[in-house]
Amino acid sequence: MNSPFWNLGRLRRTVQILLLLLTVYGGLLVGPYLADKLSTAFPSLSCIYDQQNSAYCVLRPLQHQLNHRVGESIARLGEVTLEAFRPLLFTFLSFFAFFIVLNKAFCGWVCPLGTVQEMLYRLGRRLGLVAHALVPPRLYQLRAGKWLLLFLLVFLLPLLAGLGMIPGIAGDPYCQICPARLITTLLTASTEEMAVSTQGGLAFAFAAIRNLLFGFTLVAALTVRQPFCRICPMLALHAIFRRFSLLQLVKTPHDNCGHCSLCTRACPMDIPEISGKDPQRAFSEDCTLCGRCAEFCPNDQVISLRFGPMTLFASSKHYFSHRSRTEKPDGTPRLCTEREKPGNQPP
Amino acid sequence: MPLSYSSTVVLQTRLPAMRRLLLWMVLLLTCSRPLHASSWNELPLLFGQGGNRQQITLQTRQLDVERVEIFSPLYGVDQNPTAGHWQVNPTVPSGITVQPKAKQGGFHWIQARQERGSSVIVASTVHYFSEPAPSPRTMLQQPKAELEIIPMPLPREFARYRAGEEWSFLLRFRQQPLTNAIVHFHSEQEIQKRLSSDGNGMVRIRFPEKFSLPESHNGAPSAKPTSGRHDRLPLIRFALLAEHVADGREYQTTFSQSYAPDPYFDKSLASGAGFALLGMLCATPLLRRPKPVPARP
Ligand code: SF4
Ligand code: SF4
Ligand code: SF4
Repeated sequence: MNSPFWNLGRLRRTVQILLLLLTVYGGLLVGPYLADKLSTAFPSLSCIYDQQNSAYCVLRPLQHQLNHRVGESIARLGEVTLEAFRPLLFTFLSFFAFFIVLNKAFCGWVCPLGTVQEMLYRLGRRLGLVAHALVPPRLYQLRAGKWLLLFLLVFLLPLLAGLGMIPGIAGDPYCQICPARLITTLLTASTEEMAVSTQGGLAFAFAAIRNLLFGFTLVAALTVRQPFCRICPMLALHAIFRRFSLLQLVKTPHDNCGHCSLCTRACPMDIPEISGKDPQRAFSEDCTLCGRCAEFCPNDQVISLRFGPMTLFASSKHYFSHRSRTEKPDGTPRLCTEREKPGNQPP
Repeated sequence: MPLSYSSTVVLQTRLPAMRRLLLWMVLLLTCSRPLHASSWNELPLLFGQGGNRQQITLQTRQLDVERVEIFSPLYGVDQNPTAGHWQVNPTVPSGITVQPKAKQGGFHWIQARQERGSSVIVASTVHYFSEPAPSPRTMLQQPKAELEIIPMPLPREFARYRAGEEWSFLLRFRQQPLTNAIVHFHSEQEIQKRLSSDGNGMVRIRFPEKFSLPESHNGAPSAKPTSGRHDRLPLIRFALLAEHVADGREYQTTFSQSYAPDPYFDKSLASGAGFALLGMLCATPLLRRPKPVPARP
């Protein structure tokens, strides 16, 4: 992983681009019908509104089933039955069939919205724009946002809509405001998800919020890393199950931990816990398993990505010295200065 | 009557001279009245009248139905032939009720058949039940009647035919594509088009751009959103009609469904772009560099 051309960052970028193509346009290969899709409960924002996608994001069936199966069934029968939860159970099982393998790497390596935000941030570095890191306490306040969106928009409101307590249009509220719906459909040259209802009411409000979030994310991503990920309910859903997967981020603290913070500076989610001394807290709820912390840790075997008992990648002094020649931890590319060119270094 | 190129070829090449002569006479007689319906109300149709996740009720029109057949996505997939193909009672006054078998959802092909003398009429439609199911591809490819209009493909589970969009259908007779044959498009708003199949039997139809809100039309009620479709969009029924004459029999088939307005119906793209721009503007303060903290003297 330390050849002059390949490093973990480049490998990840290649995988991200290939999977962006697969998730956004893969329907052209696999077919248009539900049964053709790679998964109907995919653990990243592969949007169902994209007519050419190859997998359906899990957040949609969760909202749909809480609304139409659980909520409506309770409203109709006046009692909670196990049968009402059967589709929901199948959705969780098919989500888990993928999640158990890649865990939160569905964010760091697969999600098309995650990839687009990373590309924009890289563009921002090329343009020399200012880079903002999010630090506590604002970082912790934002963390609550994703849990709020998950419980309110993905679980509670769809259930209330099914029970008939709120209007039916609020039955899939997260999908109504999700910026991935806009970004993935725009990538297929379709502008229809951008159009706003002229009938006013909730449909108008939802579409307006969706467009605002989309516009904000596009510009903010030039200067803040992964701005939408901070409040994404998928990240919260992953966080619930993150200990039940084969792929894990493991930390063995070093004496320098708590002082150098290079890993936190490299982290696209600005996670402070990764540079701390507590190995239990290192694999944070916000982690996307991108592996940048392991790339930019200058000490051997301190941070590693493990698949079961196998170490896939571990930090090392040697890798760090190569990696940090081409890029700063915050993602700014390092242009080789005259002084840094081989042969020009001071003795 | 509109005699297709391929039916003429059959007459000219395959049949012995005497039978051919007789057939020409029959055809000449039938030519005196148009076989194809000239208006929406004359079409032989099978259409859904709303339903839910578990069942759909259908009505027929201009048909004296002998049998109604259902083909589920298991047709041609499951070894057990009855798993994917069964019949229901066509003589229920309240409408024909179709339910999926054993919680098997997906696209179900439903067709009503009438045979009278030399005439065979098949009216077909498709309904989606929202339970997991195999892809309908094999079921669509399997032969289900002599003359068929097959959607290639169907709009996927969460999509619809929409005004202004182009969709393809395969016209085939006894499993062979019917080339250069005429297919008529009718909508319940009396929009009609005459289309022709290409060299592979494919017919491409662009749904009319014009979409006025449907009303109950001469007894044929407007399509209602059915299971899995809670977008409450107004829908307009349409039907494709094809005819073919072979071996002294006249075959007529219709495929009916509904189409929705174009994606921008009751929506404004400009307002959407405006909100997106506003979102961008809200983020621009982030692009400003923080003022440098003045150095202490
Ligand atoms: S709108 Fe968002 S949450 Fe809904 S299906 Fe698309 S990507 Fe998933
Ligand atoms: S947190 Fe980011 S990368 Fe993960 S699903 Fe959400 S948008 Fe995609
Ligand atoms: S903690 Fe490491 S693996 Fe997790 S998001 Fe941050 S840099 Fe990536």
